[in-house]
Amino acid sequence: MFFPSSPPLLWALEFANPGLLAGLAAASIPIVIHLLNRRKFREMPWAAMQFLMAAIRKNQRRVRIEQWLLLAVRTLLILLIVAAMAKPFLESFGNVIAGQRTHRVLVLDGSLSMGYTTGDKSRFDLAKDVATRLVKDSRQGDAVSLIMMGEPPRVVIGDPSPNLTEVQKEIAELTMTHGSTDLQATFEAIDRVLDVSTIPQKEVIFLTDLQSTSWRRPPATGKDGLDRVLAKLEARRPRSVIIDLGKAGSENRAVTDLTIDTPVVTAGSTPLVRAVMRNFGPSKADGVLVRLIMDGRVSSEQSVDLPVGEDVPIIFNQPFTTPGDHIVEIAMDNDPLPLDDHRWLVVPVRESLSVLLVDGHFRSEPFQAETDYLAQALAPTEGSPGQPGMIRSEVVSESQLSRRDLPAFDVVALCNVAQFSQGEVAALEDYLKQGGGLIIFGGDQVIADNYNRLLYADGKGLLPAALGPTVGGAAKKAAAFAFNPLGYRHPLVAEFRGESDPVTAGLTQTAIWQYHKLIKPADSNAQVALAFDSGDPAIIEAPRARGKVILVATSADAGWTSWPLHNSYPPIMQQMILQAAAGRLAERNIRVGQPFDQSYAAAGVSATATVVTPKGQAVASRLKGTGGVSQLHFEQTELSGTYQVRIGPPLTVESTFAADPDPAESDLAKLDRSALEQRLPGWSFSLLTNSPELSQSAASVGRRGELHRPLLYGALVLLLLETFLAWKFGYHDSSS
Amino acid sequence: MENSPNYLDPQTLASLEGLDLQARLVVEGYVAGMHPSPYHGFSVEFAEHREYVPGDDIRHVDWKVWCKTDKLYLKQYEEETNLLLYLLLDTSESMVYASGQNVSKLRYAQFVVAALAYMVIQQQDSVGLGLFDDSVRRYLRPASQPSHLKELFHVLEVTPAREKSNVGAVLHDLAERFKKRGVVAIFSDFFDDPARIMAGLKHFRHRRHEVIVFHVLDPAEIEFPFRETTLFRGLEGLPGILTEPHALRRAYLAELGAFLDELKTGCRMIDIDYVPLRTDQSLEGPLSSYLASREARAV
Repeated sequence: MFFPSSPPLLWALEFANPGLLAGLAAASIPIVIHLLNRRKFREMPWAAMQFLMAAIRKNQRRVRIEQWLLLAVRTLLILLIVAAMAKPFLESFGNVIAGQRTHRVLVLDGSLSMGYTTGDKSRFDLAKDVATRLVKDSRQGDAVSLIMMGEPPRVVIGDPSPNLTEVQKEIAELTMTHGSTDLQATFEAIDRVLDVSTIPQKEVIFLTDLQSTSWRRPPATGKDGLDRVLAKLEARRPRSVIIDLGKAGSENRAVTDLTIDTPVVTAGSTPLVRAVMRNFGPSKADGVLVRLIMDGRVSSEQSVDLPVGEDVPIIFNQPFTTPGDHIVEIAMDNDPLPLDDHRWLVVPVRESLSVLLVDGHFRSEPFQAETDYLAQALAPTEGSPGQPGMIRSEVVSESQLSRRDLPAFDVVALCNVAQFSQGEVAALEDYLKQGGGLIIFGGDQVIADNYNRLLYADGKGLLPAALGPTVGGAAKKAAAFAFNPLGYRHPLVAEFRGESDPVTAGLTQTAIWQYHKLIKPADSNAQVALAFDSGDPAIIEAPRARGKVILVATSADAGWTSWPLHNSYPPIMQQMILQAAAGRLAERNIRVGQPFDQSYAAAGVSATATVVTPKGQAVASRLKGTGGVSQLHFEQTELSGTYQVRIGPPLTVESTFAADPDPAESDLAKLDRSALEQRLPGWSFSLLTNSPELSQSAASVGRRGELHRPLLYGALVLLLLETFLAWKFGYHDSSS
Repeated sequence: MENSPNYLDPQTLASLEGLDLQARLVVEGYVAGMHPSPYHGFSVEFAEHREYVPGDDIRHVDWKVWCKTDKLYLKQYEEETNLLLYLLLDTSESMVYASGQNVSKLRYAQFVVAALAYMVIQQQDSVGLGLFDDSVRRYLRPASQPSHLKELFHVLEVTPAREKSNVGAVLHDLAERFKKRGVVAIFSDFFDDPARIMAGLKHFRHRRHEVIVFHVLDPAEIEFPFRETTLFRGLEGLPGILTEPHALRRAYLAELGAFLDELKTGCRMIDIDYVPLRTDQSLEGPLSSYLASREARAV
């Protein structure tokens, strides 16, 4: 049976056929008959009066009570029958009128938490069972729509379908996603479905575990949006029912994060793989086995204790010996929700990083050219953050920039380049779209106007800041500025954090005689990695398209600063290369439900692309040309795991990406009625809690609020009672 | 014969005129079905012989004695007539009640009274008649002449039913009047206090009368079959009552049953034959009851 989790606030009674209520006057029929009987009587002489009088004397009181009782039963009987014909229903269940044609919208929660399994059935299986039962028990003429609640929601059946068999088939074929939900988009989808419906009576039934995360409001910006959608939905006056399939206090452990400590992994390196576990359940879990699986083979394992509600990080030293895409998977012992007990990381291991150094002041003499110090810094040295041979650089003069195939390089460093042509800017933008890294150094040849006009373009260009006038004078070297490391927060300089003064002095004691004043827009997402002691930014880092741009206010050589002569220069330059190159590599790992975008060379336009999902299903697609690149846009990432991408000729590329679930979905904390009302104010719904008989008695969901059945049963009982009483009181004495 | 009317059916009988005819038809109809004839069934008590004197009825000559002694002797009986039957009929207003097609209790009782009187006179026995309500209205002394029968029928027919009954008091009164011992047959609905009725009956028994109580009731009074709301108008001056009869049926039947039980038990205690009569019954019943009673006494 179903019971509302708490009594609705208002139990207003309404009638489907209020006109029939006039029939209530019929309840007076027994009374009228009774009165008429009293007025219309036969008269007869009677001899045996002494017995009649004695009988009356002894039984008058009893007879009167019996008469009143029978009269009451008969009157009530008529009242019940007339009331049942008027088809009353309780307004608190919405305005669905029993027996009338109904458009029923079934909304199944398809988020990851619905994979929670008890026995051999997951909550999603249970939701499908209940949905099937609801469809099966729908009345002739009812129509059903089907929506999967997800991120984004999926409208499986939009137009109300009266073909209930077909709907059941659709339900049977539904598979849950491993993603989260988008509440506003879901309600918008419901509203759209209801909008096209011509059936006036509407019912929306949610089958969900009421997980707090799934039913969270969108970020503050969308607050008005959700309220507006809810108000719109309410205006359609559907009956909204939530069938709660969840259970409070469910056990769950999850791998919530998986990272690698370096932005770029090269062959032969042994970076640190860091996984984070969390116990969301109510009790401590000891001795949980965590395995690192490298390319399908268990590489190492650790046993950890997971206290309640704490993040427990685990570090693995994982060597990567060969170049290519490697799949790192962290797996732990399965619990009732196995989907979040795994997490994947695709690590594209490079033989080396190739860097193009564009020299704006090309000289053949040693350390006279703009890029000489930089090239030297990127060469392998003892104690540098990368591995020997990790970075291979090539130096070209600025005139050759347009002739080089930029996508062949992981990072392009522009050092004191005077100006750019439109074509060069376009090439650079395409390069960023393909995830390339761009580092721009200042210098005496830089024509700020050209930079600002073409590269900055009022904030729309690739430069994260406009170039202001130069500050200081390198010619006189009269006054020098120093670096302000800003607390070593940025990854570029994070290596120096906590180091001793002699080490940090290599950075802080650097003298800068001249620099471009960088003017960062107020609403920029760019980060200042390093500043001058004057307060102006020295290095600004910002994501651009799929790539990354790092803008340095001073020169790469010793023209404007003594930095290349200091020992802080090589590690920071190498780190800068790694950070800039990270953009191209980071996109291999997405969150479940997010589209996978990958850019390729322009030659790949219209090339075929096949994506094999974690379930082994091959999905065909094509690359599309946007700007100067070809792009793969793949949206069917609702499952967690690794996806294989094969791009056909002319590119012929194979790569792998991984989709990991949202860690928030692992928190199975659920909402109750009041919490839900608080989250979605103004939305009226009735909440049905999970009970063992749920799937068996789902049929009653559609009939809740109807009162004519109990009334008719009551009338039947009264009819039997009337017969019995009449017999008992001697009214229907067979011997008479 | 099969198509000839059954004069033992009270309704058929009521369609005929004249109690004398009706009584004869009843008795003959009844006798026709009996063997041997009840006329010879009556035993008369032999007392002594006396010598024949001219003028005596030779039917009473004892021929056996004449054969032995050659003298004519007559058989001497104890009484001139061998039976005194007192027929007492209640003519109070309650006796006129009749439901549906039935004859009234009074009419039914009249048939029986007339038939019995006819039968008794036919046997040369004497029959007397008393009509009463709250007092004795008419009283005919017992006689055995056919002319007496005529008068008896006339009295039966012309005496109207009226007044309340007061069976108890009347029985006392009549018990005092009947000097000779005989058979007392009382026809009434006995709608009175049972204790007083029994007292009156005891009075008869005290006087060594044989008593047969014919309790005449209408079927409606026994079954109380009414359903509609009814105003029962009381006879014998009782007030009317508007009521739902179906609701009271069981209580009424219980009251009636208790009354009947008291009456029957009382009769049995003082050796009185109690014969219940329903006005929708054949008249054969009462006659048989009477004759059976007489035979039982004669043994």
